Amino acid sequence: MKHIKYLILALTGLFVASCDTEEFLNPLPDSAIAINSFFQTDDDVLAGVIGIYDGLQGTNENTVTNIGNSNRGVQFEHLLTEHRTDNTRNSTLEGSKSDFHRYVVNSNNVESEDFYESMYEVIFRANNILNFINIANEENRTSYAAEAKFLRAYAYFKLVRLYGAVPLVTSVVGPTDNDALFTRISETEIYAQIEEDLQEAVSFLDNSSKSRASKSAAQALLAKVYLTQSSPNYSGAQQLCETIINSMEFDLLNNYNDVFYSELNDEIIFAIQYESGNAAESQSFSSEFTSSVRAGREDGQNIVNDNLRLDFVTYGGNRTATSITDINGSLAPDENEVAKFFPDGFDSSQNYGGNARNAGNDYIAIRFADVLLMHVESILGAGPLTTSTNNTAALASFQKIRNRAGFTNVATAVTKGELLLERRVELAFENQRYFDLKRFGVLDDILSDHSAEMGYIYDPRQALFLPIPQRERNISGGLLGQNPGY
Amino acid sequence: MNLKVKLFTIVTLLFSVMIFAQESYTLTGTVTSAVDNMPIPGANIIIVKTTNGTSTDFDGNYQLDVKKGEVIQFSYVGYVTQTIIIDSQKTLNVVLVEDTNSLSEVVVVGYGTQKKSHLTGAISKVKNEKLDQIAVSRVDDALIGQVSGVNIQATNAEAGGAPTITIRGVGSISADSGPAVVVDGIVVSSDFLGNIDMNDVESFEVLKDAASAAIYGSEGANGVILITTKSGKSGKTKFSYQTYVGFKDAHGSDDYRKSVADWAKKERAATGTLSEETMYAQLLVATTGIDRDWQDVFFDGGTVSSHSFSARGGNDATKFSTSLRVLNDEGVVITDDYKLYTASVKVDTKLGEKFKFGVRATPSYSEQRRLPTSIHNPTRQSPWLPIYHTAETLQFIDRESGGGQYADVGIGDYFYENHLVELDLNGDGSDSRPRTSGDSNPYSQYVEREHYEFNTKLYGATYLSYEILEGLTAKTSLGITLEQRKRTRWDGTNYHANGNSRAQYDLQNRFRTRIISDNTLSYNKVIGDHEISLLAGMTIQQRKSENSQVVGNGYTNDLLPNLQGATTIASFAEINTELKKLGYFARATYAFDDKYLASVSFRRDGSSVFGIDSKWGNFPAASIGWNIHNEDFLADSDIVNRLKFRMSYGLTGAENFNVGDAIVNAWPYLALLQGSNAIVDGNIFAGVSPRNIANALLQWEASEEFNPAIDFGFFNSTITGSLDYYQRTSDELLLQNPTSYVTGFTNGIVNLGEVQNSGWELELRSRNISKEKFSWNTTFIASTNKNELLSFGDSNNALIEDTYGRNSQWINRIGEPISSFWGYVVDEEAFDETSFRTTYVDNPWNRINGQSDDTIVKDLNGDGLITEEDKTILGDPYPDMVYSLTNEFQIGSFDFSFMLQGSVGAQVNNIGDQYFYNWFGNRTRSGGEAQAVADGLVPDESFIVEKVLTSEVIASADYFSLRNVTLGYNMPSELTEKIGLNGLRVYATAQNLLYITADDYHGFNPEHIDGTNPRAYGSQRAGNPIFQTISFGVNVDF
Repeated sequence: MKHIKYLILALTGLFVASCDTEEFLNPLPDSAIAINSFFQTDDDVLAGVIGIYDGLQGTNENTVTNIGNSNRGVQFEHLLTEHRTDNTRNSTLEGSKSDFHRYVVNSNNVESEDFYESMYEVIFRANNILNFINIANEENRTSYAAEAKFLRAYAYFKLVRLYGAVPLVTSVVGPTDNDALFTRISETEIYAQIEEDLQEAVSFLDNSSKSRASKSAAQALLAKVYLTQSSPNYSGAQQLCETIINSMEFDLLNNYNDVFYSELNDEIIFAIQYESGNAAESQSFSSEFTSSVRAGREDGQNIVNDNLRLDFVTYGGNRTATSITDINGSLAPDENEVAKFFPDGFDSSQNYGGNARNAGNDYIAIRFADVLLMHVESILGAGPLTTSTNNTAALASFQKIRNRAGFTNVATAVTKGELLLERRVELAFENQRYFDLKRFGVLDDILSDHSAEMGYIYDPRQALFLPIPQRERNISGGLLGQNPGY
Repeated sequence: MNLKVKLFTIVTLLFSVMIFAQESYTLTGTVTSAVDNMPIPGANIIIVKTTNGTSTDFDGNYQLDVKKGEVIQFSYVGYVTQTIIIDSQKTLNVVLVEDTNSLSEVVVVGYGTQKKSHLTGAISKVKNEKLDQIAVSRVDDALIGQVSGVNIQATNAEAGGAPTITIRGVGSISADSGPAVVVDGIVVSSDFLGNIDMNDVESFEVLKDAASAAIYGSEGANGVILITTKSGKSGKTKFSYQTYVGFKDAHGSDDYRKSVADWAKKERAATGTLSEETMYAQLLVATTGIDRDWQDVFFDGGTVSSHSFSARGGNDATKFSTSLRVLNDEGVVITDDYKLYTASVKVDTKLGEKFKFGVRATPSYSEQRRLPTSIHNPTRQSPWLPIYHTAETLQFIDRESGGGQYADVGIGDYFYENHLVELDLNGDGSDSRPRTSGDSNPYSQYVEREHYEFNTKLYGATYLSYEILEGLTAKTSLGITLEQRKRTRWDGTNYHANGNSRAQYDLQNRFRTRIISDNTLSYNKVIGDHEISLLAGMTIQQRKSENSQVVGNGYTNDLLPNLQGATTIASFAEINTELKKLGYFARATYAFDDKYLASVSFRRDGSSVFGIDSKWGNFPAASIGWNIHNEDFLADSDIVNRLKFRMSYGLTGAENFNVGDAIVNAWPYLALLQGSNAIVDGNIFAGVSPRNIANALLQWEASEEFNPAIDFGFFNSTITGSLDYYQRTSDELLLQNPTSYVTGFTNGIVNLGEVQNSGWELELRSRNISKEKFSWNTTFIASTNKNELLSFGDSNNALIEDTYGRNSQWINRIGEPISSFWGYVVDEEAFDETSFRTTYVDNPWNRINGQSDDTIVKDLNGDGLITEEDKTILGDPYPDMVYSLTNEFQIGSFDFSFMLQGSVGAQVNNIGDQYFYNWFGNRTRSGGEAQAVADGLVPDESFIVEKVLTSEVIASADYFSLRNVTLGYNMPSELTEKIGLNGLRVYATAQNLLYITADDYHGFNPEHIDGTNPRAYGSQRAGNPIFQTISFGVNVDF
């Protein structure tokens, strides 16, 4: 027993000696990767590029339990766009999602803030991977960079149209660089950056994918940028549209319905893809468009205004059945629902299928029909809705859309008003109408009439831009201003 | 009897008394302890003013020759001395009460023990005297009101739910604000409080000030709860069986009750007519006979029962303690349920004179069925909603709707409001139906979803100690905690109107280990009047957590409510973390002549959480004390028998925080990537994206605390107590600071800001009456707290929104508590609910129990407009004072006690009002604001503001409760002996018989808090209900 003390001391000493303090106190994670040790090969850089698409794809709302900021982005873009037009509205007046269609969004609006966040997430991921581009194989560097820049431009284009002047960052910015984070850059400068990025994308990308950035997608997006900016470049847009049309790589599907239920079909130029049943990789908007049985979380979004339904009746042709539904007459005329993106193609008679809230339908960002109509628009050029053209190329593009819809009578002229209407029914619920109204310069006219009809108090300032999130302003130390009307 | 006879009798009796008084006789009896009803061997019994006396034998029995009128004194170390005048009784059984202020009483401190009289820090000791008879399922629930400075709040009142424990206010912002828990010297997870059997607990010691806790370094920032478990005593093995059964009942909310009948009455009174929805509801009520508040369905009460068995004993060398417990706690809501099985073995042995060895193991298993969604969801639904379809309700089903969606609905199916056919009941030509709950059946929403949590835990520890020289002891101990938690969430195919598509199974497994090795060398020496204790040691700790989650869906039936029944795996994840720590510590305490006391300690901790440059933190502490009562000038005082002044100062640190992402919590200094897969070209592609903003400079959060105090005892310790003042300043707060979205992140972890908690703590104990047959003790405990943000860098005045999407706000402002409620103030004079609603709300009566969504607010800056500038602080969620008043009576073999307990000064953001009063259905109609301006009701449209943004949703969280009432009977030992027992106690106890909340609070539990973000703390949606428990118990010792 006398030596036991030495034993204890020895044991204690052994314990201390057996672990190297430095090593002991610096364990490394095994279920996450440290950035410094990751980017080593071409594949790693590609993984970073894929990560940008993940950002764009956004989070299915059904995967998160709180309503906080969680990068749901494009998954409820319809609230920020379709709801803010005469197309659709929220089914109830409950919660912040119901504020868009009545132009009563406030600067704390959760969904608007979430969208703002989501787009900057895409921009950040793009900027971040640009730092590692040189690790990629030489032959891939320009295309990876072009891909990142296409996505960055895509995000800025959404932001500048929805929020106006916003902070512009083209590199990774730390949390204390207040000037970069909170200085609003003029729309003109943002458009300049978007153009620069898209031109690079046009130069260095090919058409090997429809769900990743491609040459044609960059061309189509650039065409729309040209048409949108304050001094539109109509000839540039026309040229780009014609390049796409003449490439013969895309065509309208014969059956309008197939456009939405066959993925990456001939008509798709760029789509954001989802996978059915996979909570992390699926989308929730399909289920949110249903109301009476609520496959979604909410009481129903994108409820079709009667005004749009009537346009469908007159101008929809065979597109109507694919676009809107009254569920066998069970819905009132002004309560029709969207039929365009039924979850995985299942309608109410199939109870919206087994994965309604984790649907796999793609978000169609750019399709050939849009390019054809942009082609018409670029030829029509500036002017009021009565502006007309009988340009053969324009009429040809226009007629293709009409023919597919089942209207075989040949148009001999087309006005901007007719084009806008055609876009409304052709591209309904594809988040185009709001931007179309702005681009055509008729936002206030149409929305003030619509508001009067619906009993909303129309605020043109609210219709013009969404608020800069109050949260961003709160932490900006007074640097970040607000849009008028908020 | 005539008067003469009476007189004679009295005189004779008097004489006989006088005669008796002269004769000595043999008095016998037993001395037992009030703590555990066990006999006290070796208690001293002397006849005052004589040299006669004796002591009790091994079984606590004594016999002594006495004469009537003599005064006998019973004494034993650690117990209050009792004196009794002999009145010719032959037997005299004495119950000695423990002296909580006894000089020799020992208090457990960090890595050791200390004489209570030598304490210089703020340590509260709670002995488990009757705590095990409070019929609650967790030990922390039983501590409510027992310790000053400790606020135990029922933030989640479901069965088995953990309360939130706050010691001396909220210091950390993102760091975990709960105290560290140490069982028999080994640091364990605070979750352990849910798995320990109160019957095994000997005492709790709460280290409240930094000086006491600093020896635990980074564990001690929010105080430390030391739990000492019961040990065996040498002698015959003692068995004990303790059991109780309790009946629980929820305290619902009368404010939230509704019925169609009441509503119709109200509506008719206001408008003279009924809305179509109300008429429809009446029609349904007339058909089904159902018009009841959903609280009546959901708050169905519950029973709680506990069986605990222990055997404790040993010999001089080896002592053991073993126990087993089964607890069955059925919650007061229809589905919540908690079952706990624990066992424990504790063996301590001496090998020779110098070598000690001990081992303990506490395995436990618990099964908790949790509430699947917040309780406000089902209980707010309309009173006319039936649960199932019956023959009578079939006529209301719209068979055509949704393309024949409900064509097959039949008797016994769940009733959904969406089934209802539209009717024209008011004859206005348009059909309508009620639209309040849509697709949710409140009942199926709960019953068809089974959300379980299973915990399997094993806490084990061993120690070896060796006395190298006299007073010098080396000790090494090893503690291992294993915790396996499985969470299953089954949402069945019938829980939702949409059937199979909503069925889902979520399986989460978490396996955690904590291995901790403590090695100490201690030295205790008394040299004349000098008493010295020295301690040096090191501790090594490693914590691992392995988490995995799989979610399955695509169910077509309920036959296999697990992954086996799934047809698709919707998501899966694995997250593993590892935290390591190394600590070195030393302490010296010194006492001179029991008068002058001092203690210094130092700890240095290294943690894996921080980067290379900030891995190590130093935590020094010092304290002094002065036992003034030992000074000559107080030695003869009849009034003051104890007076101690003590003062302490120390630093503690925090390294644990909880910002949502476990990996980032463990490696905040590393720039990490996360998997970011995307679907590309129809296939899933592995992608990555940055996960966090790395902060390589992140360092320890430091708390500095200053604590002067006095302990006192008056009139031979008839009145004792202590008064503490504390001021704790937490600096370099570890917090999740919002960052601009432009960075690509929503927030980052930084050290920022400084918060101060200060307050007073009073503990006052009075032995009002101490007689053999009757005693009455009173204890009053009160603690105040003031929480103030001292600095907050650029984030001063930061606004944080709630997570419900309601846009309620909090502000973090210097000079105010960490987080304060922020919003507009309702102009009570301008706003009249009834007239506003009927005038400016579109369809004011279309939802039962509807109130307007909007209100009128005050223009605080008087500029004629309501802007952000008119928002102000509306309160904060931190109590200013918590208090308790306990009275204990003992009358012969009966005892009776009750505790009144309450909290004042906190507010709560109760969004429940929005749900229960159906605000969202009652927005001001389009143009309503303009009309209100035209009517002169408000000067500008901006004065009409949503109620959720105003003081309307901020209610007082004050409460006053009758926390505990206990009536017990201890069978006298002469009776228990006859039936072969050592002791028998029967009792009845009740918790929360009375629970009074503030008038402006309408919910179910003002203590309930959803979420843990301290920057936006204190919100709820009515809360899980507070309940009362009435229980009956028996304790048998044999």
